[in-house]
Amino acid sequence: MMKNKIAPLVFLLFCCFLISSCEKDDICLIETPSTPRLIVRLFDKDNRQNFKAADSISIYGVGQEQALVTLTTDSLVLPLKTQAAFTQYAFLLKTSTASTTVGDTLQFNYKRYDEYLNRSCGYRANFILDNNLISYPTAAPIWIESFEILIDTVSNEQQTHLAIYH
Amino acid sequence: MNNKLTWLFIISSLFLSWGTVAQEKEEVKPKQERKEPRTYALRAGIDLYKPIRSQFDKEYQGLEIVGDLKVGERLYVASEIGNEKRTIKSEQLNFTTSGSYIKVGIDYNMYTNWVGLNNDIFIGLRLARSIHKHTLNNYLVYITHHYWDTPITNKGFANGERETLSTGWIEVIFGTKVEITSKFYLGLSLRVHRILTDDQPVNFGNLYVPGFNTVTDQNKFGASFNYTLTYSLPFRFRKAKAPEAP
Repeated sequence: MMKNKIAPLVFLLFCCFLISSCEKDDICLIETPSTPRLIVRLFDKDNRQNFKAADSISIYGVGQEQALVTLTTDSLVLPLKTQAAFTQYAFLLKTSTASTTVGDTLQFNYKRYDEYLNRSCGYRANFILDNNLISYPTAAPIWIESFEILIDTVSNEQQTHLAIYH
Repeated sequence: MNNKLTWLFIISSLFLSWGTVAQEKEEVKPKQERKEPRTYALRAGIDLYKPIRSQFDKEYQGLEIVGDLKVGERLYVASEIGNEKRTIKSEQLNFTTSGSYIKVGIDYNMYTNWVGLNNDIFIGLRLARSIHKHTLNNYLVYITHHYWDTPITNKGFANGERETLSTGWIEVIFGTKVEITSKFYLGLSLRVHRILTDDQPVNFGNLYVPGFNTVTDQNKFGASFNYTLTYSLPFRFRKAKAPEAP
């Protein structure tokens, strides 16, 4: 009599162990906005209303061997390092005399704060740009004339955060 | 089997004769019933699963004390009080939740015992409340572009302890209790929870609640079980006529 009652109990318990050991792994949906990148537009230094593309500009993260991009564009999308308060990029421009290049190294300074999204994605980083956003770690800039912060909080990639005049 | 049928026959024939007799002496019978002192039973014990799991799972510590009081033929007032500390690691997050909870409610025994047996198959209802807090140990920032590597953030930023939270929920229980030896019971209950009130910590989620278990995004339901060992202490209040408190 007693054994008949305990057997289903043990079975149920076993089932519970099974169920509790398989936790659902939530998957972070790709639509979830992730850590935003810095959006930079290039403007004409002489006519500040107009975009001006840089001719086949190569952008290297300092310390990285691979170029981030090489393009002719007036719009740059720069990932910022999360583990540091600054990110350095080298901008290499081909000069009109072909084979030689001009390079500027810019350091972007910012503060990071992390924003909770959900269980599966965790946190994403947002950045607050320093007033003194750009500094020049190696030498005075050659092709950049000036810059202007348009939006000092980098929390999405829909807006332009920084204007560079060249 | 023969024994069963015989008993069933005897018992039911008793009821039959009682029914016919009762028509004549309506007034006497209820008085006699009232004189019968009611037997209460206080049953207390622990959830076996939580301490056992604490031994094997480094990320888990838990204890739950359970108790119920028989207040009617089939009705119990029941409660569980527990404490849990659990560390949960996922791809993005590593956090520790610690806290206590209390559940209070009733159990209703649906099982009709034979004479001498005290087994339960019950349904129950609980109101439950927790006091707990989360500590974020480390996390990986969610980045879909991978030009720079993204190390785990071990300190600073969003890491650290969050404020104390309280979550309230309701539980529907289906369970059983079996008397294994005299006065000792083994019980198993399966519970479905639904959150009633829910706090969210600042810049984090209320992802785990002691007693409730994992809270999923956009879903107020949860589930748990316990596997209890309890000891029953039956007692009777003295008859009303005997001298009691002044």
